[in-house]
Amino acid sequence: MASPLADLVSYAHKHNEANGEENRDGSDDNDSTNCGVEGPTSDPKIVALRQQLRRNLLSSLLLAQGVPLILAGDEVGNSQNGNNNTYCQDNPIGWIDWSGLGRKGEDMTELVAQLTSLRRAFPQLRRRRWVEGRRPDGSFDVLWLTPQATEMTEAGLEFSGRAVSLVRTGSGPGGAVARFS
Amino acid sequence: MQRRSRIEFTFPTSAEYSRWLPVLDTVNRIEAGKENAAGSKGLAPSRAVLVFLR
Repeated sequence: MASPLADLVSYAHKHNEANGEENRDGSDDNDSTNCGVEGPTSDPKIVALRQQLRRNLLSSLLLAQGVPLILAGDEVGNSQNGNNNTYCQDNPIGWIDWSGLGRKGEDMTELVAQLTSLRRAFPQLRRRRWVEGRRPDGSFDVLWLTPQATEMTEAGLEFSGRAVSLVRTGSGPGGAVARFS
Repeated sequence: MQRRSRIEFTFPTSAEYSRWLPVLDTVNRIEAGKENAAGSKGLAPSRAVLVFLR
């Protein structure tokens, strides 16, 4: 089972109590953040931060290599109330809530459409072959750069900095640079 | 969580790439038609994903 995108930025821990196993089931390795408050909040700063992180994660997913897989409802902020193992929840916890559709800030279908449009338009964003990095002849198909546009060393890849660039080239002319800050 | 400041970065430069066109900014609206010269400086908003193409 999986957590919806909205829950990955709203809960630091799993909340599977409704499954009747005293919250022992499901993965304990949630790889999530609650942005300061566990679960729903009306704090506008936290709501805005969560929406920003959702936009970033959708972008990272759709700009990554391979076929992007989006969990149904992630584009409209569907939540499972922190439950990351809804196998036994044939009720609103496990059902997809589409009420975020059309709601400002929550509805990200336009962003997803923009990202899929970019993938269609630019082959450098949807390579079909495994990337090699820097080749012996000096050419490259992907590079990781520091904010100063110098090539990252292996140590730099440990993400000590706050900003990185990924430069990709396609099979023909054309390059892309994606910045994550 | 504390908000971080904007981050300065340099647009990559090479013999092949001289201009970079913004196509995605997850924080701000993109300025239509704006291009960035390779080697020039840019400012990335904190917690942003930016994409430029040539």
